[in-house]
Amino acid sequence: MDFFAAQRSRTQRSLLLYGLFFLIVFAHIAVALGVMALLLTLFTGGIYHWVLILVAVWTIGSFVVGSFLEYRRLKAGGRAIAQRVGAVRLFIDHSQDTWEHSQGVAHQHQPVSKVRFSARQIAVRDERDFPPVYRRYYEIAQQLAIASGLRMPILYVLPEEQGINGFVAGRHSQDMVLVVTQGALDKLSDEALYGLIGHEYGHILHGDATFNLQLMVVLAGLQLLYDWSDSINNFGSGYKVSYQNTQQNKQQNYFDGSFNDAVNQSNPLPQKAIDSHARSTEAQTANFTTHSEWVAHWQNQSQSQQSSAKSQSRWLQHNDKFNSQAPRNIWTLLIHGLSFSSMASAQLIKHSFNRERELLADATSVQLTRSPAIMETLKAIHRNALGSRLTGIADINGLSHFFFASSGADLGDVSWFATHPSLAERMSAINANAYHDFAVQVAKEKRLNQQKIKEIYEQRCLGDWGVIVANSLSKNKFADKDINNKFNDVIVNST
Amino acid sequence: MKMFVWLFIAVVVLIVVFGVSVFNKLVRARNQAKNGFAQIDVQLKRRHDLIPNLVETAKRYLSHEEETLTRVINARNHAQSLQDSTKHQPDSLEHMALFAKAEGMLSKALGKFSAVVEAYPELKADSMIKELMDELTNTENRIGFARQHYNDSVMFYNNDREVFPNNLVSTTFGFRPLSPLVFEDRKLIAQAPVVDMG
Repeated sequence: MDFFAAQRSRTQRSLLLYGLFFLIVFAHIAVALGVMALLLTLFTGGIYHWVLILVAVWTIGSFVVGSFLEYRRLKAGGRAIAQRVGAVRLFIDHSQDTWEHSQGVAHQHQPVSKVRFSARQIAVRDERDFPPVYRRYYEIAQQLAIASGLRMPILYVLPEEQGINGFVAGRHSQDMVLVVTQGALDKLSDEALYGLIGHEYGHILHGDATFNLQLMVVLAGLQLLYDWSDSINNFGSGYKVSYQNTQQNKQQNYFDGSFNDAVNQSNPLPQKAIDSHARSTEAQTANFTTHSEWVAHWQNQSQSQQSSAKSQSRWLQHNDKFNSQAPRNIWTLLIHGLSFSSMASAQLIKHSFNRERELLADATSVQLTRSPAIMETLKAIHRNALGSRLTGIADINGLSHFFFASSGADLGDVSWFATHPSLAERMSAINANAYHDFAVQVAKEKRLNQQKIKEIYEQRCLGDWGVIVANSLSKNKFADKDINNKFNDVIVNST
Repeated sequence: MKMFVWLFIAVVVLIVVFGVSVFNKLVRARNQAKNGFAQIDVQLKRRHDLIPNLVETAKRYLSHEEETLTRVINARNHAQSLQDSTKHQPDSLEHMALFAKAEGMLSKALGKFSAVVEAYPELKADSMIKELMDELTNTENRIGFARQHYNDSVMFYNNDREVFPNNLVSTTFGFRPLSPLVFEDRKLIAQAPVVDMG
């Protein structure tokens, strides 16, 4: 591996990040000061310097405090992050070995398994005692450590996650942790697991693990303001979406824009929103059979989500969802506007830095495994019902750029705020022809399933298929309860 | 006039700085390649250590397959003796060629051994044998990755050595090219093995 060029580009990238951070901070301070000065001249006829100084200090303070708090949290390194997400460590306990050796007892390896499970670790005396699913993980990680010339990181697993995902984090080479979900260990074939772990080693190799921690510090600084102003808004139930979240109103269709509002940290993305988004995507793409249709669809998606992101900046002016009980005055609006722009720029930074890094790590995975193993991983994620989504981790927004693929905490694969390039883009980057074949095959299977459902539907005389197809696949779409139930039965029985 | 002197000195300093940085880069790359080579040895030794246990366990079942077992053991002993000898340095090319040949013979013997294990169902089902064969597969994978890493390191070193501004430095200071691993039966490896199922 050409470490020198990689090191050079890494230093450049860190400098670029810090440069951008300072630029944004200054821009925000300038805007805040400007607005303040404007208000003062308009309403009081004079500029009070102490007010401007106060504003400047307060803005800088919040950025610095946010970054500093995150820095303190991250100082404990990769292991702290693994603990924070609740990962379980694969631990090989060598503590008894010296004692046994001193007693003259040679450690005979018995094939009887001696595994100790606890909330924080899975401990064995020897790597061969691991349960097979973890042993495979451990061995693959060892082999790829040899292939990449790196020290093997500390291995962790997220036992409650069924999505296929993983990440690396760490401050220096001795601090590296590699965390992988249980879903990845269960559902991936050998080749695909090589691809996933190779990708993560690619991140370590290119210094992404340390860079991502720096990124977290920077983003926390920019987002503290947004969290704080958001909680002010939520106080008094001013934010309709979160308000309704706590009520029994499960019928809300999140897709029209309020889904896009879920890009904030205090509301983890509800499963309902993911499901309705998935269903609407399903409805739009059900009849695709060619690759060009898919490409056109994704282009449309990215454009529409871009414009919805832009419209968020006009949200404050045109939003009539605001409950009148919220403490809404000029100050909270200003704070919210400022903090929103800082949060948005944080997300954009994340997006732009992360995209090329992910593609680079994919390429490194191909190099380390000398095979398109990562294609298998991406295909497996595509096939998996949960994909790469993580459901159990709070505060995932700060970590979302670490993961192998989109963790569901952002707006999905294609948007300004997406943390990763889409699965389609990544697969095409590795092998465009293979991906084309895969996409066509998926579209054919989808069409086949549609045919089956149509036949069942006609068989049971459930109604006019043309009407059904024209609507979305929402379960509660039909006014008639009877047809609702029958339709649900069809869906359930045909999968 | 004085300015030209200063300019000349500045240029010389720049050239020296460049030369030093290139030299250091080449040294680091070469050491990494050497390290990669030593890594392969570590994995090969692991394989050597695994084999006696494997053969002992298999002996109980394979009373009629003496020659396969003895061939494995002999090949292993030969390879290990070469590895332990004092001539085992990356610089001594003919020793390395002998060693590569010995390891190749060991790989072939192990291949035949695996085929025999497949042919005896009771042997194959034995938990100890299963475990040892898994270990063997793991070790073979590790050897493969170590060789791959060595070849990659050699490629990077050779690139650094031969690229235009650097080759002036490398020829001046005597940086010799390293050769990647080449296997004797290259043509044979390139063909897919024919498995007789009949």
